[in-house]
Amino acid sequence: MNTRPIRYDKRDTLAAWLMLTPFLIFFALFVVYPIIMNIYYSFTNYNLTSAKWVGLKNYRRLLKDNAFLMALKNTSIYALFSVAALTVFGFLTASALNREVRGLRFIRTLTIFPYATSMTAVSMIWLMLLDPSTGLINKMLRLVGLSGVDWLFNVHTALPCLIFVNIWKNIGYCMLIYLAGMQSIPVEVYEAATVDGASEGQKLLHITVPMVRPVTFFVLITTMLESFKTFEQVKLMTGGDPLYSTTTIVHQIYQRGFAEFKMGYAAAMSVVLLIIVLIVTLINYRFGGRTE
Amino acid sequence: MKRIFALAIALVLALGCACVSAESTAEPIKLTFQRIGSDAAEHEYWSWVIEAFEKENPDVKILYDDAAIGADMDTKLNTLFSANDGPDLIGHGILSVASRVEQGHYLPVDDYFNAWEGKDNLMSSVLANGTYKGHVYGIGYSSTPYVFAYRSDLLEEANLKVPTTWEELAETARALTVKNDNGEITFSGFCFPSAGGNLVELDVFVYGNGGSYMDEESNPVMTGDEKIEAINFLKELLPDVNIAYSNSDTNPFIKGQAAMTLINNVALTSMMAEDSEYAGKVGIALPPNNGTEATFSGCNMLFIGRDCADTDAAWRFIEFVMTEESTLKRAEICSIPVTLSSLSDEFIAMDPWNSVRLDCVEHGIGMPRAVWSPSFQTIRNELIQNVLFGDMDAETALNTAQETLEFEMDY
Repeated sequence: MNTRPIRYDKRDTLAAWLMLTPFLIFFALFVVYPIIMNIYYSFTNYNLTSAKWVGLKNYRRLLKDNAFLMALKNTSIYALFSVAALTVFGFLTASALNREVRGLRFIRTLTIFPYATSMTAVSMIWLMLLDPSTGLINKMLRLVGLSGVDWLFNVHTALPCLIFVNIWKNIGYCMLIYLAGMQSIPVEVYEAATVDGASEGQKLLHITVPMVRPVTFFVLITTMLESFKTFEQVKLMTGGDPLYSTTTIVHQIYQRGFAEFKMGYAAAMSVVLLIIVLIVTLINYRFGGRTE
Repeated sequence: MKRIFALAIALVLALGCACVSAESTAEPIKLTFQRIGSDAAEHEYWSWVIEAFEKENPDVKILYDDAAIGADMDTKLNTLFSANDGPDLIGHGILSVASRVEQGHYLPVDDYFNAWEGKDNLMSSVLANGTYKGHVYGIGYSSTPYVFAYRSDLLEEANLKVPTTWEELAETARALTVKNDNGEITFSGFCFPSAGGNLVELDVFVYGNGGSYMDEESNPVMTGDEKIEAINFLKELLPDVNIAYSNSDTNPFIKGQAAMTLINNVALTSMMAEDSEYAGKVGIALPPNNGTEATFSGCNMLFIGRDCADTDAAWRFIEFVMTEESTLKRAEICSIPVTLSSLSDEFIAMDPWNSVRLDCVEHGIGMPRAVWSPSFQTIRNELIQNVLFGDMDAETALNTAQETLEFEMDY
């Protein structure tokens, strides 16, 4: 096979650069420049009015800041459980719905509904459902003789509640992506496996799983990035309470930057977040992107 | 012909210029106004006062916006100020004074204030709230005390009197709490927020025990026996009588799920106005204390912003808001205690509850006026949660709060 790169003439190259220019200008102005400025501010005590160079002080503070360390821990737990559950359940739901049975299309549509709803609306709905005294969930528990739970006011249950809501909202998205991937697998492959006597489980494990690997990689990357960016849910449902048990890195960035005017410190937090996301994405590319 | 044509063009141009110039002189001065708080009663009042002001001052147009109490307001202000497009007029609380003055967001109004006829009529405690390092920045238009609200019908039914001390509060709250077969509280005897933006309810207990968060040099003081006592009292009482809720949500008292609470006067007023079911069943009093009659009382003030292009027009609006007529209207719509001494008697005569409201203002202590105030709010919330949820003892929690606040001040 010829693997030599295609050579373009100068005019084609120039045309390509010209076409790319608007995007590159936009990218440089609204992505690269803010990132550079953010990194610069992370070495200052910028407070919206003045910025004095403080070297690594903000980064040293991060190591002693209980709220940030909690946010780091919470974000990791949130991302880990969300991504794992979304990938596994998204795949299983798509497998279950990937057949031509009457009524399944309606169920597919229903699964998408939460994803199509904004996180703000979803948060408000779950806030009502999880209310300790008037919420539907506690009312149902009491109906069957159990005690209600202070869902969002308990350090042990608040974060799992947020993770659950995130999974509930986004499972439809993962299902949809997997479904698209599964429907692009040639039917002949399954037919050949059936002729060879493969069971449904074997077909799922040895045909579907490997063939949707690029989709899995895409789902992993997108859900991971979304999980690390979590903010609205925290802001609306718990405000990071109780006792920082639900605060996340982005919530802390917002809190420090906009409520306490510590923009330089918030910038340092966002640099840490950038590094984490970069590492996680590189790991995903390194191990998840292999399709051969 | 050419000459006539040229003359006609010149005439048209001259007329056009004249029209444009006439239009530009008729254009009113636009003042942006950002106010803290998004409750309906306040909104109604500000709509009224702006309309009345614009009628009397047709050369000024007020562009009004409000934001919820807490981070929402500060986020909005910070975004506007960082774009050098801060509001001309700002309605904000005590918490903002020191930090925003230090950042240059508020302009001193000493010259305007000294020339103002009504300056001696402004209550001295209200004036103090807006004064920082010897300069006047904010003119207090509303005091927002926390009152002790109770269900008088339930107290009467149980033959109990309104508690005035901590011991009485604990006794009454336990007596009025209702639990189901599982031992779960279904009706709270005394509700106290577990989370939320600004847990000033703790301050009511700290102040009521003679405590304070700031020394004479404006340094934070989070430790002290009076605070330990207050926190221990709550730690012992709340598990027996409280329903968990966030300050950002509706207080269970308003939802009819609690017999007593500490509540912002404005929120209570809205409840009474909206729900006639509670008419005659609710009473208010100065919060029960442990030796010191005190409560938390916020104060909202009008400030002129750094980016204000026409400070004369902005001050004109402030003066209009501070007239007796506007102040009385505010008291009438929002039941907010007046900030002008001359109107105290008139305010008391308006509503039987108003004497209690004024009493709460008189005994009210606000947020510390210091640059560390924004951090204090978060750390104070963490402090109470450490004790209620984190199984930390009061003394350790207070020491941790002091250390954290000092750490935050070192930014």
